[in-house]
Amino acid sequence: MNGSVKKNKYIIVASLLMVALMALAIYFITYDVALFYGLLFGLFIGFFLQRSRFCFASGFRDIFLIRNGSMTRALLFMLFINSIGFFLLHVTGNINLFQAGALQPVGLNTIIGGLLFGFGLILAGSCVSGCLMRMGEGYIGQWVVFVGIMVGSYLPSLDLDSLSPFSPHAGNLIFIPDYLGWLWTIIIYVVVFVFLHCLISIYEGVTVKKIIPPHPGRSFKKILVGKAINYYYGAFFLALLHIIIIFSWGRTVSLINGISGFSAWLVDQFNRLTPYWSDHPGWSSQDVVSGAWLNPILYFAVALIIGAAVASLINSEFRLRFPKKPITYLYSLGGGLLLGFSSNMAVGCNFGAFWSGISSFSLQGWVFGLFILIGSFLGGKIYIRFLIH
Amino acid sequence: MDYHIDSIGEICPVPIIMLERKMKEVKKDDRIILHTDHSCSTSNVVEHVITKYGFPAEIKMISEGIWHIIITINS
Repeated sequence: MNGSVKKNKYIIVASLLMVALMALAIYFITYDVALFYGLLFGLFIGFFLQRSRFCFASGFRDIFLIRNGSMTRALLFMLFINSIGFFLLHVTGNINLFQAGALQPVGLNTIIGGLLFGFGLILAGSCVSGCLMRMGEGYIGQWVVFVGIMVGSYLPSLDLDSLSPFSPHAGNLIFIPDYLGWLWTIIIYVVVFVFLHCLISIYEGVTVKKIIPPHPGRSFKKILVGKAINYYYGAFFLALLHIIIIFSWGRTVSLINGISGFSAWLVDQFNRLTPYWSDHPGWSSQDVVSGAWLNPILYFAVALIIGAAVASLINSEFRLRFPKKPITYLYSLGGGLLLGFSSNMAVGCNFGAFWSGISSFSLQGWVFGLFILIGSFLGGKIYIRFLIH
Repeated sequence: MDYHIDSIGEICPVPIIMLERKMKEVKKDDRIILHTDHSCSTSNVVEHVITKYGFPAEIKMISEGIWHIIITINS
């Protein structure tokens, strides 16, 4: 398919990016190994997100907007593999989900956060991970989304307790196996995933035969270069990576606290930082500002952008892409603000609260996911009625 | 007859919605050529067309980050 395209001229840029990132990662090994893991896994996650065009936003949006649930099904497949992996590691004593898992309280903040996140992803055209991935691919509109996320993720921290009962402190932490026991939790997980998978296929009107489109003869090389890999392959690699991450790094993936910490650091440069910052449950470190540059999640987010850029460059897909209509910049900024604000409110974005939450058997992940779905359904109605011409 | 859809500079879900609207106008043996610079469209438009309509879809890379997705209406 690359017939008319000249031999990869960007491959040198991709190599330089990789070398620079790896050099920094190796430097970090002796300094703080968490930063090394952040860079390393960010690179891999970004790479596979781009290669499989894995888009959480599409999974929430397209099922209702265009009655296409292929991404939703892949998302469920990823969560299923991931949960089973975490479960096996937990019961064999390799990890402890109480420490390593993404367990956050579930409360009104999760519900409102989910709804706003759903609206935000419709406006922005991506979720937080999708935004970072597309920044790496050269989408200028998504850089605007990122600015929105940076500003938005700083906002709810201005005074969390005045937002009560929407405060992240108000809810209860619910680890599902604590209430149901492991046996029933796993049975329910399996039943829910299979049920949702079937429900989506019926809603779409897709026959079982067509659910997984044929992709014959995927060699290892084809995973790295050439056409985009199938969503299900992407889902499998991402779940596998997440399992490796929790096993080696001892934590789950998240994005938003790296970004909001960076925002807080920026604000502090102008001496405008509010004292409420250290109260946020998303923060383990008390000192947000000095912690911002030592937060592995910041490096994870940056490496994710670079991973996507590398995947895009080696396949000659990189391009600076400007939105067609100038109004799109406004939507992007608004969407970004909503994404950032809601992620910090719900203590996590589609990575930290949804993906990691559900995989760690935290009820908050499911509630957040459900309300993102509702939010994006309502947002989609508005979008198709008023915003697309 | 060939119909061209220009969705350069548009991201999801706009290209697929433009395509869906055009789908209502076409007849057998027409072709739709979707111009796009959105990398996700090379996956989801093709997947959508194949699973929803059963029409063959082919991707051609025109230049760095620009594709033509050629859909043949065969029924």
